Amino acid sequence: MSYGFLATNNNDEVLISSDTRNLHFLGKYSSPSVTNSSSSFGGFRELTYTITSTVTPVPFFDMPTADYYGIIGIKNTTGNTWEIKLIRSGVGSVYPSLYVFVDARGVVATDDYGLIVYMDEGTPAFDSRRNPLVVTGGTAVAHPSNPLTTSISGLADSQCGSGITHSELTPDNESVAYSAGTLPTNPIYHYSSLAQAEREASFSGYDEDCLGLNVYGGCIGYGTVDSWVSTYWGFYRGGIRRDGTSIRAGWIAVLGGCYWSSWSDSDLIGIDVGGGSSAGGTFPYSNETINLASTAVIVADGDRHA
Amino acid sequence: MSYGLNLYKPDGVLGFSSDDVTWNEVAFFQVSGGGSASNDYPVLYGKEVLLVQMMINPPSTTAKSIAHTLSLAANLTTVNVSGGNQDVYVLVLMK
Repeated sequence: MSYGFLATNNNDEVLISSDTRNLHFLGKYSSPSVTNSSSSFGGFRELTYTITSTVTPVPFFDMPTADYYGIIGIKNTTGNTWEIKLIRSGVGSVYPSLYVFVDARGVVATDDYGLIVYMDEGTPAFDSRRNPLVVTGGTAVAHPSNPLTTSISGLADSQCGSGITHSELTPDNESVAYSAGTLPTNPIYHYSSLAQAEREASFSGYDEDCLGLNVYGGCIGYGTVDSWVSTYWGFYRGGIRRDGTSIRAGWIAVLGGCYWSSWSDSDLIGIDVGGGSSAGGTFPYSNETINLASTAVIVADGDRHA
Repeated sequence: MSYGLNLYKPDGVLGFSSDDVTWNEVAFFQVSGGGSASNDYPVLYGKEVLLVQMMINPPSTTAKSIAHTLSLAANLTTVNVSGGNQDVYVLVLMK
């Protein structure tokens, strides 16, 4: 930089620069709408916060419970209106507060004095009156590839008889504990939920009947053979939770289902006399775990931006 | 602090100082699903860089939502984004 303004901290990191934009506190939002939910496999809630901003917002959230949380979408719906969507695990009704930051162009300052640093095109890069973001820590988290620590077992094999009310697909796996520095009393987090996983398990059955003589495994008479299979599946998205002074990356179940099929065959003294098949249920749209690249978590002090 | 910068709020409370840490926004841009971007920001050179993506539409529960791959090129100034099937915002931060 041959001209302009540059302030660095004690670690020689950039604090204020006329070449970049600091993020400033726009507002805190605490009354989301629940726009999607499920109680299966631990449950989840999709929360929608509607805000007004003239520039693209950067959302942070607090974690009021020990559940998993993550930002899943940020959309400019019309004009200066934005919808920011979060998901949280569980079925509780305690929801996080959303803390939104924007560059200085998007925040109105009312105080009469302070320090303003301008970009070379004349818009503010930093304005001390607009509560600039201070970061207290951060880390990068990686989700375990499998949301489940134990194999799926004990479910009904015929026509998805166990439904989606069992707990075999409830996620219970999570990452190691990540340190994000010394957490403030009211930490707020920026974390974008990108990871996705699907897990499934099939259970099958087989039945063979003979109306006649069963000789050495063969049926002399009228024989029927029936077989069936049910495949149970769950779909998950990534989330983070606070674990004491650490952060863990785990999974939030957002969808589950099951599909099944069955076949039957009949023969009379060894001559095939017919059969049939049937199927039903819902299929998963993917059976992959994707987006497992490590994801940044930025931590700030919610009490400092309230 | 014996030297540095202190910025106070009107009520006298310290609001920002050279003891603090922050991430500065260098760019915020949109990349479409199936699209890519390669943008050069000389100001990133020699700095710690953080690349963040946020999906614009919540990932569908009826379709696979592949995130983009974000990377900083070997020249340490070019941000590359590609490989995703979702519309995303990419936030380029440095400190």
